[in-house]
Amino acid sequence: MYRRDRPIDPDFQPTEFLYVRCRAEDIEGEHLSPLSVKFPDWSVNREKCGQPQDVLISRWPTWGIAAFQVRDVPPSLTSVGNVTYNFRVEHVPDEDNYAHSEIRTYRGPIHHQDLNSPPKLVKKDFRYALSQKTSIVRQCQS
Amino acid sequence: MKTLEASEETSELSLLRRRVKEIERLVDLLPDWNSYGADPPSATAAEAAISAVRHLDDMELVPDRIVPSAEGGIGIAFRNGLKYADIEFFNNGEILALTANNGERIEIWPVGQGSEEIKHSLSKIRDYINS
Repeated sequence: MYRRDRPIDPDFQPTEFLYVRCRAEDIEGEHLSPLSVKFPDWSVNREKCGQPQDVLISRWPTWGIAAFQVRDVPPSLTSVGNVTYNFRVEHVPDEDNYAHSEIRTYRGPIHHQDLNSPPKLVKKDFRYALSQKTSIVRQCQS
Repeated sequence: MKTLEASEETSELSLLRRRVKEIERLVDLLPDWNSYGADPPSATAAEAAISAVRHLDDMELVPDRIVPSAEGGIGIAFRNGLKYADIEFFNNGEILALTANNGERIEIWPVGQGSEEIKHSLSKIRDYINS
């Protein structure tokens, strides 16, 4: 899972799985609770560069794992003020986690970090929509 | 009979107290409690959430869960079969509510920070969840 000078791989297939760790309290039925989805720039691990359980290394061995596919990320949402925000999955490898990726928010070509924060209504809409696409691939261990 | 009524009152009071304690405990979460950088709930979020659970107690609406929000704050969620609703109290004082059915979002609306506005939105959630 160490990067070891490997390059950024920008190619994501729509069916590629993305993984996040979760606590028991984060799980609502068969999905991640919308209240537990972070926005924007949510960190995930990509399937192409590792195993689902890599998200548990090494501090969270008893946590669960939620998964969703790249195609589950809403491509865009439009605010009440008619501003469209686009969402992309990008490979952002860490030195100790080559699979690290982020779901990033853009307004046109501009990453959200250079913008005012997207409206809360857009955030909440995104968080709910994505939460419903998640599945729990590993339950928390007691 | 009087004893039974008193017992029921005590039980209800305990339930409200338990929910308030639950919220107060959330404020003690450490930064990065979810390992993805989430802030612990603020006192502002907790005060608003406590106001909400007092209203819930009055309107006999039972939350499914009271949890910290990954966005910083406290969420109170409700479920009845396929119907889902939540109200989220953010650390900066903003409040949003959502209703959904079978995974499809129905409505999202901003909630004013006053007690009556919170109560109004909870009534709306109750009517939706119980419909």
